[in-house]
Amino acid sequence: MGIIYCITLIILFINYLLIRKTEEKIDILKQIALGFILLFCYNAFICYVLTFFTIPITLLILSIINLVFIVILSIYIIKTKKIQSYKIQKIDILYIAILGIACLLVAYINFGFPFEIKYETGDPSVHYLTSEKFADGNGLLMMSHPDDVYGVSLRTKKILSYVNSGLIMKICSGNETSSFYNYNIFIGFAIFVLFLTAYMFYSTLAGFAKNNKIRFLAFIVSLLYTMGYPLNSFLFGFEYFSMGILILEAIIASVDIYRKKEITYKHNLLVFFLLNFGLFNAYYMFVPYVYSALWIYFCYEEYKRQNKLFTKKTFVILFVTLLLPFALGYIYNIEYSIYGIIISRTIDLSNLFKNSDNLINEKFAVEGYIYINLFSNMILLLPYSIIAIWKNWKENKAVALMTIFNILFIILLFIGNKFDKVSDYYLSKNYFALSLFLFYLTYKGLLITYEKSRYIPSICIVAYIVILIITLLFGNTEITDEIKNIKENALQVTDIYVANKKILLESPKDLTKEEIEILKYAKENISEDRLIEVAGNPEQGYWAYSILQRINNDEPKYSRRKKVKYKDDVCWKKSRKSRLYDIF
Amino acid sequence: MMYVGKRAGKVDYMIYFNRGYFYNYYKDVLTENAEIVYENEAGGILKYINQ
Repeated sequence: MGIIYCITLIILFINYLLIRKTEEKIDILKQIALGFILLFCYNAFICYVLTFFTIPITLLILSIINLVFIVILSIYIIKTKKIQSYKIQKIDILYIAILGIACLLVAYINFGFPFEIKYETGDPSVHYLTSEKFADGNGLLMMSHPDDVYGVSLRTKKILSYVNSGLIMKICSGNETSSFYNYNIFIGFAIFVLFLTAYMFYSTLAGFAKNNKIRFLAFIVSLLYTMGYPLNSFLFGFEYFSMGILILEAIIASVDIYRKKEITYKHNLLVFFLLNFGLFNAYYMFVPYVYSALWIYFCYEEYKRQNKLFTKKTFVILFVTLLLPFALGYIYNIEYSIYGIIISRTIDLSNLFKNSDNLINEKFAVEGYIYINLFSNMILLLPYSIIAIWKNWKENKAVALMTIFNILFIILLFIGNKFDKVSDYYLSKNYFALSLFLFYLTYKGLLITYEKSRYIPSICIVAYIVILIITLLFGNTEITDEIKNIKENALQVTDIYVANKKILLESPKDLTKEEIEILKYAKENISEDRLIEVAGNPEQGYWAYSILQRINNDEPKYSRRKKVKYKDDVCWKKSRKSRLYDIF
Repeated sequence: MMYVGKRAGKVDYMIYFNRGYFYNYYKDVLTENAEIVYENEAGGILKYINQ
C-alpha cells in the first residue's frame, strides 16, 4: 500500500505542476520547491479533516483522496487543453545542488553515516516519538492523554511536522525490525527540510536576479542565511519550528507571485490557504505578525487593483487565506474542545477560552533551552534592510510589514520577559523569523545599491564573509549557565555561526552506533511485558525510551541530577528556570 | 541515592551506557544480582535474577 500511496502523491505533484497557473512561463525550480511545501500542508490538512470526522488515517484512504484530486485536476487539464509552460536557468540547478551538498555536509558532521543520534536538546526524542505514534495509529494525536509523555500531552504537538515524517514511517513500515530504524527517517526528513529551506530561499532571491552576477549574490546570501538560524534550529532538533520557518519562506515567495500576478486568483487563494493553515499548525507564534501583515497587505493591494476597499473579492481573499486557516488552527491547537466535539461526542464548552487564557498568562513563561542573542546577529543586516524598505516600499511592503510587526512583537515579548510573563525561550524563538526577513530585505537592498554601483554590494558581501571567517577561526561564543550574566556586545555580529560551529564540533552524541546496537538487541530480545530501566545520561534515556517505545514517565526524577562536566568544561548558553534537565 | 540506583533489582532489565554518569557512579549497585545478557564496547544490558 505504501508504494501505491507514493505513486498517487507523485502523480498529484505532477498534476499540480501541469495545471495552468498563468499564461507566462514561470520558474519550474521555484514551483517544485513550493510544490513540496504545499504538499506538506496538504497532507496535514487532509489528516486534520479525516480526524475531525473520525475517519481513520490509513494509506488506503489517503490514496483514495489523492486519486479523487488527481481525477479532478486531470479533468480540468483536459478540459482547458492547456498546461503550464516553464522556464529554467541551468545555473540555478548548480547553485541548488551546491546548497544541497552544504546541507548534507553539515548533516554528516553532526550525525555521521550511518546516522548516530545527536541533538543539542532532548526535545527531538519526544518529537520522534510523536511521529512514531502517528505512524502506528489512525489519527492525529488529538485524543492523547494529558500525561502521556513526561507530563505533557502529545495533543499539544504541532501536526505539520509529525504528520509528514509519520507518513513516511507509515509508508516504510513493515516488521518490528524495520520500525526500529525509523529514527533514520526522522533525521533524514529533518535534513530534507534544511535543504528545502536553502532551496526555497535561493529560488525566491534568484527570481529578482537579472544577470548571473546577481544570481551568484543570491546563492551566497542563501548559503549565509541557511547556515545561521535555520541550521541552529536543525541542530537543536526543533523540527516543527524548522517547518514553520520553511512555510514563512514559501509565504514570502507566494506574496511575490501574487504581487506580480504570476498566477490566477483562485490558485492564489488555494496556495495562501494551505500555507497559512500550515503556518498555524507548524508554529503558531509566527501567526500574530504574519497574518496581520498579510491582512493589511491584501487589503491595500486589492484596494489598489479594484479602487474599492470593501468588495466581495477582498472579503473572499481575507476569509479564505486568513480567517479560515486561523479558525481551523485555533480550534485544534488552542481551543481543542471545539475540534474534539465530534471525536468525543460531547459538547463541553464550560472551559472555553480557558486555554487561550493559559496561553497568554502561563505557557509563554515556560523556559527551555535555546540559542539566545538579542541584537548583535542582526546589526549588519539592518542597513540594507532599511534601504530596501525605504527605497522600494512598493516591492517589499509585505515583508517590510512582517518585519516591522515581528520587531514590535519581540519588543512586546521583551517587556513581558522583564515581568516574568514571557521566557527567554519564547522571546528568542521569534529571532529565527527576524533573521529570515532581514536576510531577504538585505538582499533586496543590495540589489538597489547594485543599480547605482556594482562594486558596493560585492564589497559588503566580501566584508561580511571575511568577518565570518575570522570569527569562525578565532572567535568563541560565550556560553554561560546564568542567563542574566550574558555579555552580548555589538561586535558579535556573526555569533550564530560560531555557536553552530561549536555545536557541530564539540557537542557530544546522544547515542552512538554501538549504543544503538544495544537498543536493537533489547528491541529484538526483550518482550514488551518486561520492565526496562536505562542507566545513562538524560538524552540517552529519553532517546532509548523513545526508540524502544517504552516511555518511563518517572525518568525526569533521575534527570534532575547534579551537573557533569564534559569536554573543556563548557556549559551552554541557556535559560535555567523550570527545565527538566540541566545541560552539561 | 539517585532514582536509577533505587530501580536496580526492581526492574527486569537495566540498559547501561558506559558514557553515562549513572552507570559509572552506581555500578556496584546496578550490577548486584544481575547477569550481563548483552555487552559491547559502549555498554550492555543487565538482567536481574532472584526477583
